[in-house]
Amino acid sequence: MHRLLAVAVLSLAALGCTRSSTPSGAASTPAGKPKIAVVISTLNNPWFVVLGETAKARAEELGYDATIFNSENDTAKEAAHFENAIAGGSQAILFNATDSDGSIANVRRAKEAGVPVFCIDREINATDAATSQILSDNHGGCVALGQYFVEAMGEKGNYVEIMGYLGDNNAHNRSKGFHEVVDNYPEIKMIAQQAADFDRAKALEVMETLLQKHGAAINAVFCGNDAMAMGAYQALVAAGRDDVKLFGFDGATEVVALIADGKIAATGMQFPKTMARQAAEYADEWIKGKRDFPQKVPVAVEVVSPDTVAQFGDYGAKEDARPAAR
Amino acid sequence: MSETPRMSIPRPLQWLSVGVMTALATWWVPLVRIKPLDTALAPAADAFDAEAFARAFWTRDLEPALATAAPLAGVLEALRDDAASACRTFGRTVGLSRSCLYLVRATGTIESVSPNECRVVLDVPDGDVVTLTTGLVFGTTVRDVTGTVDLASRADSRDLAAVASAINKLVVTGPIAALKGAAAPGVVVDFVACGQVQTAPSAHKPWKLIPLRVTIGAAP
Repeated sequence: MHRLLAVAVLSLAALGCTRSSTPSGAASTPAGKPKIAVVISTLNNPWFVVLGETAKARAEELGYDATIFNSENDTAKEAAHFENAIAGGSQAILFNATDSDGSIANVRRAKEAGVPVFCIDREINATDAATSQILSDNHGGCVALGQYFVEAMGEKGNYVEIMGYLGDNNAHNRSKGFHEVVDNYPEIKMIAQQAADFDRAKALEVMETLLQKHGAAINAVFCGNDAMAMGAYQALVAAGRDDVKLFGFDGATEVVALIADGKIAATGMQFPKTMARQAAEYADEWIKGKRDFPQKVPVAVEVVSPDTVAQFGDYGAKEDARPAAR
Repeated sequence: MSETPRMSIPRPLQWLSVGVMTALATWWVPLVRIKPLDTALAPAADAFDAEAFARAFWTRDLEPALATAAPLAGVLEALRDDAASACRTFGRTVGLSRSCLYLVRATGTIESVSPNECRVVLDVPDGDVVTLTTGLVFGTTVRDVTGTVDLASRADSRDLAAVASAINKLVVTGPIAALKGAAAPGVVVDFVACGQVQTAPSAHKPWKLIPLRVTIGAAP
């Protein structure tokens, strides 16, 4: 039975590696270089591709052989990747979790094997498992976005909210931060709230359904990430609704460009490159002997609106893409 | 040997019994439980007490820290010279951020009052203008300005987001309510406040501060 289980785990691990190495293009493994694994929740969203590719690139700059693993939003696949990374001799794991609770066991397994895990962007609900967690301040970012939303709406109107994957803290923190502001304005009414799992195609379907149901009553849409904002945008364009104010969160390049064109109202700029680079540098420091890391490093999120869009570019700020570290 | 007669139940009654049993079973153990999103997002019964944490923070951390607030006029001058240097000297950043948090004190005269803020001219020669919020307070500035809240103290960051919200409510019902009740043009106000900034504020765009302690003086 155990043998069967081991074969199954190894098969899954092998399958995961095969799939993940394709988008990363990281098939070559120069001999002699220490390994770092980059485990990303999904590569079905350009934002996460940037996160993974940046972590990999920074690790390589620091002299490591880095490989990206795509968990495809599946904790079982994620577990297989961890097994594979540990068994394959990775000295650190740069980790974008699939599930705040469901991913904890994987991190603990790595810790027990002596492999440090540095979480990027997505939190795990434990403070004794990862070596450090470098996390976007999703709540604070959506508070700021909520304030801009209220201003842009003139403190009145109807909106719909499209939430992310409910198993992830980020989905809740974003929604909560937004509502913490917007719910104080009685003439702004949420007429529908649905989850679309941070997925562009699902958001497109959800938005189509909401447009059929609520039609002209919708004045604005708040999406929990930019991939969903792009899905909603497609549905709005198809329905000829250029009067609807659309808000996203992430700072994806295509959304920033649409803000500059006046097609999308605003988004929250996370700094995926900053987080990814910091995680790789922490891993390098750990491998070189440092052990004292902050458990949680919040990364500020900034509002990208028509007023500020000129400051922002390729997944960060134009002049100084990297916020100051203290 | 006599044969025991078998009791026969009519078929409709059999189906009815099966239906009732199935209904009872699924009532006890439902196959699917549908919850509205607002219920799914509601905190658990044993939720962390953010209000209690906020009240403790206020008396244990924030009130003692107010005595350490930097003179606002000096901070503004330092910001104009070199924002990064001003942050190192007078402020603090949280994690990776382009913004810096400051705890400042000043005396000034209220120039004008609007529903959500009042403009204050600092009581120094060529005094700058700042605004003190008199509306709602959002974000983590107040929670993080002292640096005493350990952001790793809770496994789930949603708890500390709730703390920030609870602290902001204390600000609104405390110092902001006091300021709002007395704010009028010409009134002198002595205050300790906090705010965050990336670059130096200007006369065109004065710094928005959150009052944390307010003493209302007489009109000059």
